[in-house]
Amino acid sequence: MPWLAVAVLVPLFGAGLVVVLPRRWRHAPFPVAVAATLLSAVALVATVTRFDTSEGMQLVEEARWIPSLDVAWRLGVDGMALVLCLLTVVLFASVIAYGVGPRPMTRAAGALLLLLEASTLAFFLAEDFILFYVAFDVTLVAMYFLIALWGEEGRRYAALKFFLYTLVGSLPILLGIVALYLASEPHTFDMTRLQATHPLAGGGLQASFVFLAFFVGFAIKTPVVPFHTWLPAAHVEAPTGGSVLLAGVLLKMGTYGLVRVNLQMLPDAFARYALAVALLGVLSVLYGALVALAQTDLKRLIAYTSVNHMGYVVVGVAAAAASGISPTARTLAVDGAVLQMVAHGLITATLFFLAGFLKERAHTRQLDELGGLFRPLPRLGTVAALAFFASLGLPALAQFPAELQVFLGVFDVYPALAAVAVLGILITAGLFLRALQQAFMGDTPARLRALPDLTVREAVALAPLVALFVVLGVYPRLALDLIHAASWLTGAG
Amino acid sequence: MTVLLWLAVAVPLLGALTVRVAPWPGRLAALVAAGAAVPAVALLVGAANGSRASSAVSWLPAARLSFGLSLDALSGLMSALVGLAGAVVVTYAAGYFAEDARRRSALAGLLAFLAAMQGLVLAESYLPLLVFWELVGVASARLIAYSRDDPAAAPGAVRAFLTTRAADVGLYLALLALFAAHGSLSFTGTRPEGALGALVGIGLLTAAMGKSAQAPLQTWLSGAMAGPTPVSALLHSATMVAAGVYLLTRSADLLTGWPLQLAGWVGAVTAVLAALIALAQDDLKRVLAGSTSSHLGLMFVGLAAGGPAVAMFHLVAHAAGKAGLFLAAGTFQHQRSTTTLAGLRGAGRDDPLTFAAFSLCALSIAAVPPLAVFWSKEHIAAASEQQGLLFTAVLVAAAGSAAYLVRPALILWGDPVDARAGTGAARTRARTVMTGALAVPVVACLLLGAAGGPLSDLLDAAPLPSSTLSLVLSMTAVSAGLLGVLARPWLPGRLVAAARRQLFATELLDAVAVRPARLLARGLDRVDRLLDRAVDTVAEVGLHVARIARRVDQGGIDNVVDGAARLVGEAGGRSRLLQSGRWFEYLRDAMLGLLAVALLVALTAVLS
Repeated sequence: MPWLAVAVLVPLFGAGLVVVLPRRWRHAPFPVAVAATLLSAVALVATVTRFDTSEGMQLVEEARWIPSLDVAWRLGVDGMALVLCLLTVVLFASVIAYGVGPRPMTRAAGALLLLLEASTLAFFLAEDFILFYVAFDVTLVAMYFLIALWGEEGRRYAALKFFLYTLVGSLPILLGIVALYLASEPHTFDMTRLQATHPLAGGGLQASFVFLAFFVGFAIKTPVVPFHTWLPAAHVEAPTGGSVLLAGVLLKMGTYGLVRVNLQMLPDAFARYALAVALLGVLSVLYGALVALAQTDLKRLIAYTSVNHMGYVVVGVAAAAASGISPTARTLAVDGAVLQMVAHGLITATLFFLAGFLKERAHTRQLDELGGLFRPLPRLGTVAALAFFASLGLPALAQFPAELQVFLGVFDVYPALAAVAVLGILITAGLFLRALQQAFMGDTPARLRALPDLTVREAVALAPLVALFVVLGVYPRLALDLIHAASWLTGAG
Repeated sequence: MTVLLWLAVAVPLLGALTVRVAPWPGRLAALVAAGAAVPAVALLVGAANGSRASSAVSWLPAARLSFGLSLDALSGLMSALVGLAGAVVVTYAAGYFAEDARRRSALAGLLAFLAAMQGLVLAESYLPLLVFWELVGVASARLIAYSRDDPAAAPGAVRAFLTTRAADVGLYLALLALFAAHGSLSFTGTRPEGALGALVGIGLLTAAMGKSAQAPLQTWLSGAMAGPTPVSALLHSATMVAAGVYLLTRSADLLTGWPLQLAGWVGAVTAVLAALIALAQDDLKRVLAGSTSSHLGLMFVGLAAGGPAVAMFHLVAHAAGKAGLFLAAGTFQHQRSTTTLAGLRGAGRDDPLTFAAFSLCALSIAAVPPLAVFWSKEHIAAASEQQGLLFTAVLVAAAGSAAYLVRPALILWGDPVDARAGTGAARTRARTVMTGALAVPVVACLLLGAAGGPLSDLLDAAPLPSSTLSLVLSMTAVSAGLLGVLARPWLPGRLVAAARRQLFATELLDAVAVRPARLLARGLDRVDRLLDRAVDTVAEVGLHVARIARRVDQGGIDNVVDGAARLVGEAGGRSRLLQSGRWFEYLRDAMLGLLAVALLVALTAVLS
């Protein structure tokens, strides 16, 4: 069985099914969405059982598409793609369980969620640049509608801004793809071959331009400071499920591309710009944390911590690209960066869920209008405290092993940058403890005293995320053994 | 032995989880804490008989870093101390919280803290040490924040966590430098050369200063007194704050030379300043907090001047005395519902038994012979005799200890006031539990003086130093301190006022760290909004250019680009359709098209 194709096509097929279902079957979209996601998850689990951790790119499935241009339907996995796909189905399962927009799930919501899921999985699994690019752009369309249809008051503006900004980012990516195609001999869009042959090896002027084209595109998506301004706007206006998927999954497409394309296909050019990229990463770490510290809106605060957390990933990848790094530190940096993507996905998704739950109850996200919420909301408060501490990098929760590995790896080539980046964990501690103190401790204002605690539906959405970030924190090897960057990291070193 | 290692951590951890749902949380917690002390003491006995054990699992394979526990003399000693202190304090807490509606939460928190603390002292390398080090920080913050009625509880907890986490950045950096130099994080090994070595030394020292409340980071400890008194007895006397001293002792090989010397100086300065701060406080718990900082400073001095055995002896002796003082203070607090010295006036007369325990522990901490701290501090004084300034600091701190502890004792025995608490039946039973638990540290204060020799053997150290000169001088200092209580009015008023406010250390930390961070954050937030507006402006300019182009287009050369214009118009029309709600049909068409392609591709994939 072509399990990877099943993982991608079942949600796509589900999306089509939801659309053509008769309008009067009001309750049908939800079970279809659940079933499609579960089947997709089964296909990925089947892939895990067939996966060989000692090898790199594997289980490649290929079907002819446009032979004259050597475009083909090519899917494949390595450790990074596999864990990101698993993260994707977990987050989609949670968001579908909780729902987007009115309940029961509308046909539009079901179709858009499944379309987004299929395109995200296709992006992570694509081994053909055309498929890669198409999937990238389809995610933009689907997310645009999720924000524009069910977001808050300023949703139109935020959705358009998100769409245009990232679309602008995708154009240089397309240019880069074409340049790589033209540089390859014979011309191909096969990513595995491009990675093996390095058509722009040596890093001349052309390689630099191609590198920068890809970098700008992925930097906007990640987002790296100063390309991040679409993020807070999109998050603040997006519906809860939209924020969860945007932060949890879509941001990972930027850093995934940075590893897959910039690091693996253009290692020589990356080596030249490694320090600059690392500096931007550290800037993101500190800038994101400090600006988050100044926020009073809980959702904006979480959005800026995403800039901070994704900054660690960028620093790690940049260090791995530097020419002076030792092989051990290189593996550590990339292992840590990929684990950080997973950890951030789980933890920030939890945070955005909680921010949404709070807004639904208290009708505000302003921290200074909340207070003493541990009293009416003991369960929600406990999960919030756990997620806050996870997000500030507390040991025994998933982000700690990720950040520690990034620090250990980066320190090998850029000790000063690593030392500065460590300060990020102090600033995030400050901002999360302040948020915890303001929203959950102290006196409870009268109007907040009778708020209802977590509902079953909310608990179901949160449970897998919390369980996973605790388990990965206690025993990170569950993910690290799959990621195993050592087996697919090739190129300069 | 390996099983015992994991049991020492697992028993309190599982206890913390079950206490939340058990029918008799108090009894169960006390039982669990006592049960958790068994493997801990067994570990100490094993270590004393030469047993060594280690058990680890691979944790970060790419770095070949493993996560595990191990037993040697130092970890066995610390584990037993933590286990016993935990058993005593949790038993006491079962009585203290007997009538508290949220007692499960408090008891579970204490047990969770004990698990983290056991992990910290039994950690087999710096990796698990860092993990448990941070977990101890969180567990303690949670306990400090326990009270929901005290407005100082939440800020106190936040300050405690943030101050120690700031210092923990040092631990992270030290570990990074160590890994870069040795490729491992094991405790053995020497300090690397050059900058890496400096980072290891400064980093470890900073982390230890944070946890052990050394100047100028001592203020969090005072704020932490907002936590329930049993919490203070466990965390802020015998266990958590001792972690800093443990870290330095554990790293003594890495820190030989200037880092240890620097630790000695930090300790000496803190010992004196914290004694002054303790003397100026008007709240019994804050007196004890200052005293704790001061004595941890003495342990730093002892480690620098006399080595691990000297420091550990003082750690153990001080733990017994200070735990007893806090537990007694908790009993008085129960009676008077306050810990201010004014409010406690005469409380000792109401409860002579507790007062006797308080006095005995106070005399021990004041280094009155033959009680435990007398012996341990004597060794510190003797070890530092050759270094004039350190020695002077030890003597001043000794005099200070006597003064700041006799003062509250006199107040407790002062003229009684009529604010008496009622004593119901349940409270009496709770009181029995509390008094019983208080007996243990009292006995320890009486007996532990003899522990120095065995302890030095256990740690394989040289015989503990002692000298007649230092004995005479420190006895003089203690006597001066005892008499000096009367001297407090003679201290300059401005100095007392400054000491009451932690010698402005809070303001100092705010000025150098908190306020700059906040200002920077606000400034960058403004920059960010500007950046955002700039991006929007670029988009708007683009839109304007497009409009102008359209006007040019329509006005003059419309025939040439007619097709393009119509395309724009069509796109606009379609987007209007999108906004009117009929976008759905469009989406459906797109979906069906995509689906057809996908099916074709899938078919080819299956067939090929």
